[in-house]
Amino acid sequence: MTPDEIRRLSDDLARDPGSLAFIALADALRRAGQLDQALRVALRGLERHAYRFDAHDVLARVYLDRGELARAADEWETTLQLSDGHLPALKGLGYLAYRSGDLRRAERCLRAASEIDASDAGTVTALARIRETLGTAGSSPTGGDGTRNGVAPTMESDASQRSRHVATTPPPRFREEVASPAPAKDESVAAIRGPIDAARGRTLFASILSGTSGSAALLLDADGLVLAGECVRVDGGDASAEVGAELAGVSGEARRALVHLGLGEWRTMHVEAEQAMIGMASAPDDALVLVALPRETPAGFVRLLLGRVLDTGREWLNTVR
Amino acid sequence: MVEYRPMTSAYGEIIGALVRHRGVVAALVASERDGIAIAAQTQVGVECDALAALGASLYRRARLANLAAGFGTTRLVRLDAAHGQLFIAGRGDLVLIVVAEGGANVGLLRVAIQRGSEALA
Repeated sequence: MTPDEIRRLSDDLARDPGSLAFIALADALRRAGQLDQALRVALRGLERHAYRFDAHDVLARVYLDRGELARAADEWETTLQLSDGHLPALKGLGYLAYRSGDLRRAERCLRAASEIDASDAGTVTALARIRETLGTAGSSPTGGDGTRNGVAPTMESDASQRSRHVATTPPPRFREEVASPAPAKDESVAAIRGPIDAARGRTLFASILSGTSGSAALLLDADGLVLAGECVRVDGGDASAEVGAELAGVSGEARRALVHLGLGEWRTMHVEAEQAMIGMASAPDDALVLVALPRETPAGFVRLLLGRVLDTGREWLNTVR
Repeated sequence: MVEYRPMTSAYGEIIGALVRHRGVVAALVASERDGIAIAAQTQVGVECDALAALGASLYRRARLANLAAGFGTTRLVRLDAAHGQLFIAGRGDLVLIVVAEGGANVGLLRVAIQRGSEALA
């Protein structure tokens, strides 16, 4: 994309702010390395066109290039909900799973992608490589030989083939990443890999909250079921399940409310109660993280701990899926 | 352009004081139980009924969760978004809901909303 083409798309969008030109413009800005602008354009466009699967796909790529991998995964999940079998989304999620060390999830995503487009050599090769690592090389439907030529699954969509969701060569950075996945640097991620430790889930946030009496943190799924953390009342009773039940679906409801109001993407919810300050934030798949601290806690500190709980919760979800 | 709904004098003053704050695009009083708007002042384009229903529902969930956790009564719920905030404060069976776009003074607004909720009958 040349600067002139970016300018042309910008002009198109300025003339008709409600048009879908924002999708091509956001992608063009991303390719040009203008990631902040790309993000602004994509988010603004999605306020009007929240159900465009291609817009969520572009936003996922922007987040990927910005290094916001959890958000990239969220957007590709949304893309698949809106367009079942969306090839670039499947490949993107496969790549992210591969990168986080979740080879089984990567295999599932890339297998689904190869079933849609068996001619994609990059996907076939990456899939064979993953299966070889998992020890399931013989199950490849295309009979791949698991060669290690480092060819990455392709992600970018060629404009002329969007209707078939067929991808073209991805940016070099992505290709490089899939060929040589980053090792797990975080000890907590490496330690959790393998059998799921439910007990560890319960104390997942203990180190973050240590030293803060009267505090609690929870990770809830979309149905309000407790995934990790705990909330203990003053009398010692475990209120985790009850709190989760009351907050079931809050993440999706908050998102719908804000989209409806045209205020954009949901970030956080803060609740001031008689005896606590509570912060909540959206996690992948409409999950919810919550942190509660004593009433006198400064709001900025609540926000800080909420961010840490959210990061820990996301990492943990990536490892147990 | 502002859209008015018939307001009882009891809530007109509360809402009127809030919409005068910079960035506020909607203020309304609704029933927490059924999410029906009782009085409102909103800019054109803000769907009052949907806002009342969504705001009341979010506040009720937060209130019940706080009770379950032993955190006491709920004073204020604030939803932060990319381009603004949604505030919800309750008293008795009523909730006061305010929508503010970017540029609003969040601190001043928070105090004004808490005062407004205390004035709800």
